[in-house]
Amino acid sequence: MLRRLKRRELGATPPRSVATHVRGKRVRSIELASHKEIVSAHNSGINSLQIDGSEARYLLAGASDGSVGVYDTQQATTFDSITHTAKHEALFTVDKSVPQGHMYSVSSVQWYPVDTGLFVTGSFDNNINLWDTNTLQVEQQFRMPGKVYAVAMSAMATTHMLVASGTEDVRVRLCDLASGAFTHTLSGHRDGVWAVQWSAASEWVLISGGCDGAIRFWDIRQAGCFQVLDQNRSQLGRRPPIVKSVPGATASVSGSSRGESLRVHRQGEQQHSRLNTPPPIRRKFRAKDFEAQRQHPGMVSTLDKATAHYGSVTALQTTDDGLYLFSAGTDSRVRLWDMQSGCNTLVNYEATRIRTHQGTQLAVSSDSSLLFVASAHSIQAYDVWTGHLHSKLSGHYDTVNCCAFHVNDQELYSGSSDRQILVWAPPAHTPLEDLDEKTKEGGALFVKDEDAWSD
Amino acid sequence: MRQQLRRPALRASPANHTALVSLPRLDDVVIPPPPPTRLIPTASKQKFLELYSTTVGNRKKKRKRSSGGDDSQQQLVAAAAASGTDDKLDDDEEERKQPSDDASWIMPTDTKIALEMMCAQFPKIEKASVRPFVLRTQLYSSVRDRTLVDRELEVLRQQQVVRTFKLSTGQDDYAIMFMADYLSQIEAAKKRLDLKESLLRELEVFHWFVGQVIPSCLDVGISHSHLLSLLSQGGSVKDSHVSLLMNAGLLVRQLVDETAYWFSIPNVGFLLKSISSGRKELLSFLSRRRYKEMLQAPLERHALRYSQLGLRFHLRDLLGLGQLHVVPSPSGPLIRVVHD
Repeated sequence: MLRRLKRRELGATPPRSVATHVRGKRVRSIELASHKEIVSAHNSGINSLQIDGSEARYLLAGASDGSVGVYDTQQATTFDSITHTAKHEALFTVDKSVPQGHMYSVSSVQWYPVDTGLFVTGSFDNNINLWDTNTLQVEQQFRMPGKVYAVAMSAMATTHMLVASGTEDVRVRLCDLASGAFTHTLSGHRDGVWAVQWSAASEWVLISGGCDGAIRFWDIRQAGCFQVLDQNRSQLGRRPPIVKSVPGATASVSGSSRGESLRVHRQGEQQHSRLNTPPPIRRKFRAKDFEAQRQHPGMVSTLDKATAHYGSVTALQTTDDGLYLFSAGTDSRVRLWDMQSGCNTLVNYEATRIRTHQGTQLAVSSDSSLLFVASAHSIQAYDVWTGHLHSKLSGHYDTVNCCAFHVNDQELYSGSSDRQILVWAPPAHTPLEDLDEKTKEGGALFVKDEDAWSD
Repeated sequence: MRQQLRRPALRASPANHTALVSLPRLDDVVIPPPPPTRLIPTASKQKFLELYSTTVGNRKKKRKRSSGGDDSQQQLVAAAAASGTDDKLDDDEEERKQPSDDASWIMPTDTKIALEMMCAQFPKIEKASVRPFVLRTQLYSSVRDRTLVDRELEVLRQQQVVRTFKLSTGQDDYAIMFMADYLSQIEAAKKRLDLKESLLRELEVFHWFVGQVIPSCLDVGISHSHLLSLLSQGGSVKDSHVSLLMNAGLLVRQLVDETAYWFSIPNVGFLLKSISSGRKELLSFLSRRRYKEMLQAPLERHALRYSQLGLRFHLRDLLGLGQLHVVPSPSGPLIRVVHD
C-alpha cells in the first residue's frame, strides 16, 4: 500500500487507478461490521432500504408495520466504549400516527433525487405519499388502484419529477410531483408489476418487471414500450451478439458457397410467398392478426409475449454506468442483460434462493464488480462477470428482504424480517489513541477481552 | 477423298483460341469454399435435413461407427453422411467425406463430453422406452463453471446438435437430448399411435414437424400462430394435425399462456414422476440420518424405492441444484445436505 502511494506521488501510476484499486479491495473484504451498528427503530420486518444519492449519508428504511425511519450513516448517536461500536439510532420515524400516514406495510421508499428534503414512500394501503423531511408531514398523496409494490424516481432527471409506481394493477403509472396529477399510464404488462427502475443512462427510459416474467423498456416520450427482453436472445459475453436466433425466415443463413446461398435465398423467397397466401386455419386466429394492425401503435407491444424469466421478476438493478441490467426472478435465476443489445449474457449466478412472494432489492458495487443478492437468511456476493460465489454474508436470523450499497464507504446495509438492519463493512483499523492499551506481537494486535457481560 | 470438316468447338479452350467464345457453364466455375471461420456457424435447414434425414433407418450403423474414440462433431457428420448414402453412393458424398475428418476437426467442448458421458450412463428402463436425456442440473454438477456450461450449451443448441426441453417438474428444470435421439423418439412415438385408416393421412404432419418446425424454432416453446405458419410450409394444416401432435406427446400446452406450447419429449411422463419422487426420496434419506451426511461409495449402492432412474442420476441432479454438496474426506467423498 505504501509503495503504491509512493508511486502515485512520483507520478508513476495515475491517481485514479490507486483509488479504484483500494475501493475494489475494500469491496471484496466486506464482512459484518464490528465498529458500526444501526439500532433499528422498527417493530416489524424491514422491506426497503435506500441511501440518498445526493450526499450518500442518510439511510431511509420502510417497514411492514407502516413505519418509515431515517438513520445517519456517518455520524453516530452514541459510542459504546466497551465494545468499541458506534451506534446509529434513528433520527426520526413516521408511522400511522401521523395524519395520512401509511396504515399497512410500506413496500418501497425512495429519497427525492435532488436533496434529502423530501422522500416518497409506497405502501400496501394503495397510497404513495410524498413526505417533507423537516416537518414530517405528508405533502401529497396519490391514490393507486391496487397495492403499491415499487416506486422509483430518476436520479438524473432535470426536466421532470415523475414517480413511477408498480402496483397490483397491470399498468405502470407515473405521478408528477410538481402538479399532483398522473401524467402517464403505461400498458403492456399482463400481470402486476413488482419492480420499477429508471435507466442510469437516460432520464426518459423506464424499466419495469412484472409478475408475468416480462421486462419492458419504456421511453416516456412516446407511446408503448420499445423493447421487451427475451431470455432466448443471448450473446456470449460482453461483445455484441454473434448468433441471433431468427424465427421463421431462413433467408439470412450464411451459405458456404454461392450456389448454395442462391438456393437458400430462393427457398426463403418461396417461403415468404407461401406465407402471403392464407393457409386454411381457423378464422379466429386470423382475425387476431389483423386486429394487431388496427390497434394503436402504442398497444402493439402488448402482443409481444417474450419473457425474461419463467416466473415473476422480483428485482431489477441497473449498474452505475447504465450499460447492464440485473434481474432476479422467482425461477431462482439472476440474469445479466446487456441494455444496448437487449440480450441475455448467459452469466449463471449459482444457487440463489430468492423469496418468491414479494419483490426484493439487489445491490451492485459501484465499480460493478460484485453483486449482492438477498437469498434466504444470508446475502450472497457474486462476481458479476463470471457468476462465481465470492462470499456469503450470514448474520440475519430471518429472511433478508433488501440491501443497499453505500457508494462512498463501500458498505452494505441489509434489512430483514428479523427487524434488524445490519451493516457489512470492510474491516476497520483500530484508532490510534487506543494503541497503548494493546500489545503488538508479530504484527497482530491483541485486544484485552473486555466484553459487556463478563466482569 | 472427303475432307473431314472440323466442327468449331463450342467451348473456348487454349487449343482453339480463335473459335467463338461462349459463356462458360456454371458447373465449370468452381468457387472455393471460404476458410473455416472462428465464429459459430448457424446451421441451415439444408444442412440439418442432410445430416438427420436418414437417422432413423441407420441408427445402428451410426452408433457402431461413432462409439469408438472421440465423438467429435465432424466424425458424427461424416458417419451420418456415409450411412445416409449407403444405397446411392454419389461421388460428391465421397469427396465430402474425406476432407471433413482431418481438415476441420473441432475439439469437443467440456459440455459436449459431459453430455455424452452421461447419456452413456443413462439407466436402462424396461417399462418406458425413452432415449437418454440429461438434466441441466446434472451438467452443472459435472462441469466446474456454470457460465461456461450455459454458453457452450447455447452454442450446441444453435448448431442443432442438442435440443432443450422444459420439464414440468419445477420452475427451472430442463432436459437436454441429442438431436438424433430426439428424432428417433419422434419416430417411435409416431409408430405407437395406432390410428384408424381414415386418419392415416394425417401422419404427414410428423414429417412437416421434423422438416419445418424443428430446424427453425430452436426455443423450448412456440406460440400457436408461429407453429401454424411453420407447419403450413409443408402443406395445408388443420387443427386436427395439431391435436395429433399433442396426442403423440410432442407438444404440451403452456399453463401460463393458452395460445403457446412447450416442446416435450414423447412418452416421458412416467419418468417425470420418477424424477420428482426420486429427488424427494434421496433428500429425505440423507436428512433422516444423524449428521445428514453419508459417504458416496455406500450411498451409491443404496437402491431407491420410488424411482427407476438410479441413485447416481438423482445425486448429480441434487448436487447441481445446490441442495447437496460434496465434502472431501480421508475415507472418500462425503455427501452432505446443505443447510442455510
